Amino acid sequence: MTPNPTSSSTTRNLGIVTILGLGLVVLLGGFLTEPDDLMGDLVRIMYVHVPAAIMTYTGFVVGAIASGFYLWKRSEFADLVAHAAIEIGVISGVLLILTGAIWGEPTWGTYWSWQDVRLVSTLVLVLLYVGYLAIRQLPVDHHVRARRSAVIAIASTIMIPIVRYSVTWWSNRTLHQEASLTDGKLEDLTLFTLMVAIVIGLVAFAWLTIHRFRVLWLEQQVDNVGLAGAIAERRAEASTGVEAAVTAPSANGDPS
Amino acid sequence: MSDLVAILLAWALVIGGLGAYGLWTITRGKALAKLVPEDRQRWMTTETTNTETGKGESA
Repeated sequence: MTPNPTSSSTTRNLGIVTILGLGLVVLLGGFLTEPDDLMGDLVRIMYVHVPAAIMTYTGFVVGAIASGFYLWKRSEFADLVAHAAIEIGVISGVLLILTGAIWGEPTWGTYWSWQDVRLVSTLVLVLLYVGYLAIRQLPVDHHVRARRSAVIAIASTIMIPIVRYSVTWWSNRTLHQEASLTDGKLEDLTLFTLMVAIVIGLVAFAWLTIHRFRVLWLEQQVDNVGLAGAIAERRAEASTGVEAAVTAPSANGDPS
Repeated sequence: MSDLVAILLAWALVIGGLGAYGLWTITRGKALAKLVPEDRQRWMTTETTNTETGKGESA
């Protein structure tokens, strides 16, 4: 079996905790918790929807902090951590929007509403970071790309409090309920299950971020190896050319 | 869509989506590792080469 270059004892432990924790969340959230008085069994979507939201916010906040560190220290490590965290934040954000739509249809009677400030602000937040990932694909100098994307990662965090408090600030323009975790209405086992699901989501986030960082590092090394190889080839060609130029006149007996 | 279908779909999307992404990172890491010398595969043990000066610099 090929050894996994992105794996380590830390990631193996995180992976084991994620899988075991996921089993516990499925058991608690799928079978042991009671249905909600208002929403019935649909409340079980909360156990994946809320962790996806936390993973999204975490990805973007970690990305912004790492980007700030990059701008401060010009650390390649920080740049790649930002990329990894934001990519996972975007994936979680897409899953957040999709699970919200699936939950919205039977609860509100619609998958999506352009008038809903929480839904639209969440979409804008995710699209800003899709833009960040698009900037990272531009074929420009590595440092220029890292600097531009770091600025975007930091500037885009302005949307996070807007998304978070949109349901409070514009409560008449949203179908979305206020934060479930802080309103004190959740029953004990429901709250416990949600907390476990959030912790497992964060462990999964850490596991994925480390793996993705290592893959990004490998991608950069492949580029460097390719570039170093090309430079060595050109140098070899150049020195062969010089040797040929030096030896050629004496070979034909016509020095110039 | 029934409640059960909605719940199963939401759970499958999140677990399946993140699981597929995790598997993709692992397989991509294995594929890329074949192209990189072993001493350059991890950032802490790698010494990168400055392509402009040709000098090594710690990562």
